Amino acid sequence: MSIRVENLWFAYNNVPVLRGISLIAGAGDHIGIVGVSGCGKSTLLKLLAGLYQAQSGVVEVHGACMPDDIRKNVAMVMQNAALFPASIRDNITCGHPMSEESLWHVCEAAQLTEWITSLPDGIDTFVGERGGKVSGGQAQRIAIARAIAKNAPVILLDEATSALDDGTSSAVLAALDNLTRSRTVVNVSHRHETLSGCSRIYRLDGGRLYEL
Amino acid sequence: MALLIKLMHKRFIPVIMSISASILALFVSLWWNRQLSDIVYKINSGIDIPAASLAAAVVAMLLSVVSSYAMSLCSAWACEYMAHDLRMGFARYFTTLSLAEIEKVNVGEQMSKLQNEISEVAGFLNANMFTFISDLIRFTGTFAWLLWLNPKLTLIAFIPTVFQMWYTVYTSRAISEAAQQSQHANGRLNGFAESLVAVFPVMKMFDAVQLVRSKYDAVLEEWERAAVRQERRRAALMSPSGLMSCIPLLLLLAVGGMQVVSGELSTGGLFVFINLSGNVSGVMMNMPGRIASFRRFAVNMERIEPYMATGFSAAKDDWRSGVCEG
Repeated sequence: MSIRVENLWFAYNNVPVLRGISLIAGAGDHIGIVGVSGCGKSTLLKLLAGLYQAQSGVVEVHGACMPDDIRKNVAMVMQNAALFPASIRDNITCGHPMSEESLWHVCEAAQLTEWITSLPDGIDTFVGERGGKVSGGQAQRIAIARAIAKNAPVILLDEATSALDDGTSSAVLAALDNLTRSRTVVNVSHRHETLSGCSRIYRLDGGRLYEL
Repeated sequence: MALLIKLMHKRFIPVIMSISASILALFVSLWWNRQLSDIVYKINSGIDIPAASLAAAVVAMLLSVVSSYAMSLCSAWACEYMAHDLRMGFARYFTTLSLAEIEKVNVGEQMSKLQNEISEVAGFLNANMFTFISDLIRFTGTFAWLLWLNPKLTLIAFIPTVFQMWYTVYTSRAISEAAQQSQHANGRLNGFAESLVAVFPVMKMFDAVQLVRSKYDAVLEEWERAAVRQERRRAALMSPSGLMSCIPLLLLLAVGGMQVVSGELSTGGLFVFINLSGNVSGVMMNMPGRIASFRRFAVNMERIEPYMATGFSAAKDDWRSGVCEG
């Protein structure tokens, strides 16, 4: 079992957002969750990512139940890729040791190689504060490369393709395909059509999950 | 400095009232010194001081109090209005941006501008702006009057101030470069701190605390180095300037004393020169600091000028209400 959520409740300031959510995902499953803005999709994803702690119920990811342990087993790609004010290399490795060969393999999988080799400073190019020196598509692919480099068994995608235009989405989708292959994926989006590759799709409404 | 001119133009009435009060204070001061010179001369010569001279001295003192009060009031009034205009101009700038531009705004950097540059500019306006203008008026008026009274003594005593002025310009330029580097580093530091909020979930998820800490330390050390360099340079360059500023008074005592002994100058006249030398050499003594702070002010103004929405040309708006038309 890769993900197990049982009777999960979560509230912000006593306002319940998630009401008794239960979800099971096996290894390699691709789960899609749709719902309108503000329905609690991102909150559910942050609970699965170990960024929030469940107020009631169980969240188990790859056998881990504590947030610190859960975070070791997941990688997440968000709508607006948050980059560190550092180089492309540091944004991918996050300061952890990684061989050049592995690094370039990750860049290749994230469709970054061609762009990086065209830069004067290459992989050591500074991305700017809040990624201000790179485009949205490039930032998204760096975030995907970071997730690939982590090699986590569970991948969480939070509206990962929503902010992309047609010109950049094909490269990002190819990168995402490489990221999610043979991994457990939970993909949340407010648009049903972006979840076409999912084996199961749920709708989050009123704090409860309904299978479609 | 176009922004400063626009600000002063917009608040023309309080500005001109402050300058007028400064000019009045200068004339009162010169007149008072003239009275003192007469009194010292009469005492020295054993002549009785007439009641009219004493009455004139009392009137001069009262006028001095009134002019000082008027100057403080008008300058505080003008400075507060100008500082308010700056903050409103900065706020108004963001309302002119498109959504795409607003989304690119780095909140940390803008907050840094508001907290550092605009606060420093407002601080300079309140603490130094009219003191600086008043100093210039006092310096020019007093120097011209002393030159008229005794050209030889004035030129000999105050010619070294020319070299001092050259040194001041050189030092203030060097200090301003260091100040600019320090402010740039400070802006980067604040921008970095702000971006940490955005990357916090990613930092936790990818266990990147060490990376972020090392990057933050690097930016912090860059700012620290720039700040220390600025203070070191200021201290090194300004110390000789303080020493040099004593030369005019020493020359005044030496040359003026000889003129008194030879009968070219009265004791009252020398007293006036010594009494008013502060208006010339004293102003010069403070000039390095004043010009350095004015240069920092100018650098800050240049940095915030692109972020000031236009509207300062609307000089017809009610300057008493502080409401802008733009």
